[in-house]
Amino acid sequence: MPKCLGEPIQTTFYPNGKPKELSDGDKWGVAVMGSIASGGSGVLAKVPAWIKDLGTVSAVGGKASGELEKQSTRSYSGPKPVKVETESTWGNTGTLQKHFEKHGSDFSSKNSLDYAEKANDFYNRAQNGDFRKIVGEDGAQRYYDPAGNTFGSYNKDGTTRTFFKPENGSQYWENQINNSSKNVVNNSSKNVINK
Amino acid sequence: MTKTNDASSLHELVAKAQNKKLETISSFKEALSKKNSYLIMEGDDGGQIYLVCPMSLIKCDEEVLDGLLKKLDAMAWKDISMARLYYEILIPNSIVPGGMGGGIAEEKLWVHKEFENNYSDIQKMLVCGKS
Repeated sequence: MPKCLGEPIQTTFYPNGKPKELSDGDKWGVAVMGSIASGGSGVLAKVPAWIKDLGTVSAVGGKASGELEKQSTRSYSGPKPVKVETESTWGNTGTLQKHFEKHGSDFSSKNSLDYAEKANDFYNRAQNGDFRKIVGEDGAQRYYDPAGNTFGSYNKDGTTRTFFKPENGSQYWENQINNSSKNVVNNSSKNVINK
Repeated sequence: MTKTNDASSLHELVAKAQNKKLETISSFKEALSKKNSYLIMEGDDGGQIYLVCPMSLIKCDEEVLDGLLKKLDAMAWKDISMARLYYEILIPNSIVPGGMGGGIAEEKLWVHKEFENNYSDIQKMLVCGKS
């Protein structure tokens, strides 16, 4: 059933995978992004109240994920509309682009939003308790997945602070061991004995 | 005041995963007296290691270190809340875990490639306390 943003919308916002109802006093509407229907990670986006002036925004496409379709019925000459994207899962959206530029290649991310989505997915998987975790005094949660060598840092509310694959030194130590092994082999083949 | 002397959460997590012991030092004074102790500055919660320097080369005081961390962070991330400096006992020439390639515990000052052009200025601050 299509809904208009001008009408009250009973909806859910998932900054950290745990549903939280918006209060009536909240001036933000929420729309479901259809492209992110996978696995219930439920990435939703905020829409400022003024965007109602654009006309109706319908949720079509049937399934729970929905798809957003703008049906502008009035002309609009104000500021460029804000992105209706996954940025709501990123703590400080002003830093997202820089994080993408510096760490996006760690995850073969296509763009900043793809990167933010992967960071949020990692957080949601971390809630299963599979990863190593440290919670700071400020409530910041830091997770490390040794299998994927992935580190994510999140605010108390679950929004992302940073997300990257660290150089963890494992390759360095493997190289050291391999080099040592080669030296042993080479030395033994030459019958060199160090005393 | 920046966060100082806190152990790196990233290093703790990586060390545990690799069954290695992380040797941290809680104070500047103690770090000056320990063999193979290193100063590490990082930003982005470990997403970028700014510099790694043997404490044996440090001649400045803590306030200079704090100021240097702020300068480096202003250049790299502009989010001092996620920057910190701390001290660890490291094996010379070992890798310091971190994003963007991590760092290296060399016998001299190591800086991230983003600060290569500032190497001599950074070195002056650490050795002489001057910028």
